Amino acid sequence: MAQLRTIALRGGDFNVNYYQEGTGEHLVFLHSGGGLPAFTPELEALSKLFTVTAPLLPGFGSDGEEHLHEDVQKLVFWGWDLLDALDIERPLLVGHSFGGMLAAEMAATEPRRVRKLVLAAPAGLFLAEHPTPDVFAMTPAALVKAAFHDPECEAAKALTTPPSDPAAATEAIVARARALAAAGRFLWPNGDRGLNERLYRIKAPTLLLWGESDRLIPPVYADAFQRLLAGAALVQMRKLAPAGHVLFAEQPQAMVSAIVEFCRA
Amino acid sequence: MKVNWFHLMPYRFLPANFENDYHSVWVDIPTGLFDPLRGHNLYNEFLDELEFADQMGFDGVCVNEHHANAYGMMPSPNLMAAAVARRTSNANLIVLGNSIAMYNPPLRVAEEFAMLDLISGGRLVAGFPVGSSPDDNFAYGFIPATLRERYNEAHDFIKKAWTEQEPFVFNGRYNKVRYTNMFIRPLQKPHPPIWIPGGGSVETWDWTLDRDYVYCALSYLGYEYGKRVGSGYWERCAAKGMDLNPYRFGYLQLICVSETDAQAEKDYAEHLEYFYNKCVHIADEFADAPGYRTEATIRAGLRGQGGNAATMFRKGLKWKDFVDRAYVIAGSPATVRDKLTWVLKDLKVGQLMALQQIGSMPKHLVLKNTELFAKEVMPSIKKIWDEEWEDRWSPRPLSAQQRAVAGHAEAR
Repeated sequence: MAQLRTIALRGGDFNVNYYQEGTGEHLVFLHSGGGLPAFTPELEALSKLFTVTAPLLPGFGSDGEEHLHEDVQKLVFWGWDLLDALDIERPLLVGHSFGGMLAAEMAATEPRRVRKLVLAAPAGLFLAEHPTPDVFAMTPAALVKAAFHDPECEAAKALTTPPSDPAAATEAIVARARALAAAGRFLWPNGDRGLNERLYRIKAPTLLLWGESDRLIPPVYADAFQRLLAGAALVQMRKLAPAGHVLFAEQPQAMVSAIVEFCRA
Repeated sequence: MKVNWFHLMPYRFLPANFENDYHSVWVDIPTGLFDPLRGHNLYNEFLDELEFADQMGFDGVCVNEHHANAYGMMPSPNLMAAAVARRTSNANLIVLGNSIAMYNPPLRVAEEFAMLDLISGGRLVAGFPVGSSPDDNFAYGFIPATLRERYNEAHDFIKKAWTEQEPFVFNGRYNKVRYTNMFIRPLQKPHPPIWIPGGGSVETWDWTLDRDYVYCALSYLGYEYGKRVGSGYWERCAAKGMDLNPYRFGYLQLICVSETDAQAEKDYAEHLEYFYNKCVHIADEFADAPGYRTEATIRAGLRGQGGNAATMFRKGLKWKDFVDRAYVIAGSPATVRDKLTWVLKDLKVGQLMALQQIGSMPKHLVLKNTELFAKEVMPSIKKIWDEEWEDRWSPRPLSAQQRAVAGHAEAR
């Protein structure tokens, strides 16, 4: 099991906790707004073929989010500064939801430094004719319900059961508030921070993965990403079913296979 | 004791089953529930009531800011204060306040407050709230995690604009102005008194005390909430070795006075129930955006009054509950005098904000409530702290001789 490691950036403004495991080509995974509570079995599986690096984003187990203010560029620099510090030159870049938005922003900023890009239900666009629901105005239970294709599945139930220990329950509330606050710096109030005007810069071959019954970022957004990725060497789209927004929890094997297949092609 | 009269300006005509049929009174309330003709009459009615409070001898009248909100019809409290300024001559204009984080540049607030201070002859109190989450984050789209940073910057900018003698460059993170130059200056020197309406964030107590401002606990939960917030505030004040002058502390209290205790229930119960069941029917999801409260405040367990539990336990409450829990101080003049005196002394309040128009209360009852309070209760309340403490935080207006009179003004 991969252990959490720490690296300091920018003279200690940021202390980044990250997992790293495996051998072979670098694959960097950027987690969703749900955070990354462990080096998951899916990352474990990917680490059999790639050197997988999975940082915890600021506010999600790494610190320093206050230094990002609400500036997307600062978040992008955080990402590249981290990869520079870890000597990762030209990775396969995989991001889910909020992490997908960050991956796309990083690839748009440094188009030549991303070998391939995998965006799993990325955030970052807003279509007036297909408004996304307000994830910041949902109770935890409502958010889980909207995120899963099947809200009654075991993974969904686990997320809605608070820890029985009161101290742990308080910590969970604080951690959730902190993580959502950090995501809100870049996703408040509707997720549009101008990525639509930057996607054209992405050059890397790109794979879009989407759950067919995604209610948080509906599949119509996949089409918008495909359209806006006009400069990418290649854009592939895979829609998964049955799956909502929480793709790695709902379709773990299909996700791993799709990523492996695309990255090794 | 300073006794001020506070108006929320609620829409009085929400449907009977509003709390069951609609999601929230704030943020996503359907605008189809608002009737502009009623709006016309309501604003004028509310202004009449504020002017009446001035005539009744209250020390000040209070207005505040809300957006997309059916219990607070004041997106711009400055407009109300300006209207009141011309038709009153004694009461202080306590604007509690402008959500300065949201105005870019916040110079607009500095300028409007200066105008109000000038028009009113120095009667302005400048209130600077961080702003509520429903207003600032949901209704106006500001990012919760950076709201306080914007607030601090706006505060520093406004104060500098009021006090600098020369044009200056302001180079903030969120505001950049090459020529900051407030040609019009507030009348009060160095600037109007600054009061901070707080929702119970622990950081705000220190922030307010460090700047020697007044902290105002504005809640609809009366003594219970006032005690929690007041205790925390006075503890910090004592820890800093500052004087425990009650005039540092403002407190809002719902007050209903009638001839007898029984008559008070007859007069006001319906309107209290409207207030607690409809006006504060705030959806949990809008109460507290992630990032709005600091980690310390979450851990301290202090929530805004819109927060989950708060809304839940108010549902279905009746007159007796409101009175027993001291959300409202109600009854005959003697009853109100006794209870209110006890509460104000216990909480060490120096700046009382009396909320006497409540929920659907129509004008004739507002005037009755206000007049009975002013004549039968206020005289003894005003004497509290007289001998002991000096109010260093209220406006210092021009004398009557120096003051312009509406209709007869002429500059020389």
